[in-house]
Amino acid sequence: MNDDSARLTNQIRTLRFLAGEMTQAELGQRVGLTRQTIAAIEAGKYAPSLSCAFRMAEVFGKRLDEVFQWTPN
Amino acid sequence: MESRERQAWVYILSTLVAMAGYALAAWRWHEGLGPVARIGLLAVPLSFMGVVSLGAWLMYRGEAPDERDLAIAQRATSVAYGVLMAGFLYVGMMLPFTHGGWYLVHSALAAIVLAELVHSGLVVRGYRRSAA
Repeated sequence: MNDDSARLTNQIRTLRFLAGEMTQAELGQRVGLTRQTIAAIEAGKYAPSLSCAFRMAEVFGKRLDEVFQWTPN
Repeated sequence: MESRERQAWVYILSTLVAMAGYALAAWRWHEGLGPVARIGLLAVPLSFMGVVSLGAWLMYRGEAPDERDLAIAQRATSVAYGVLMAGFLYVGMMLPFTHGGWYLVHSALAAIVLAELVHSGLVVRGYRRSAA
């Protein structure tokens, strides 16, 4: 979606697995996003808003930087 | 394909079908028609697009947009607004000096159609680019 998304990586797939194979739809429901948007975030195609990123970290009980990593060019 | 992308495709296809049909009909028969018949001819594609748009809206109205949907829509709207403004500035401020009547109506319609196509096209592009 934007230039930042290429440099933004995340551990959502791993964290979903560790959370008892939580589905994308379930995670989406808990943070207020659609399943397709969760899939896009996981694939690095869409960079979520800051508040949404915090909500995801809260769902997994992790800090923000344990869920999302940003690498400067 | 996501529902909003499908909806945008419906808008694109219905707009193209309706306006291509109208352009063909206007080119063939417009000169021989009176003012009321001309307005009636114009009402046909507009009604068709209205019904299709209403159907597409009713089909997907239960799905609340999330932040990605809104970001895609916002980007598409901002670009399409520029296209619409450019078209209407041309139609409203330049064409009246050289043309009049139905030429102005059709030019304004073309600006609206172009803006709508740009909007729907950018919505499709937005979903394609950010699809997993």
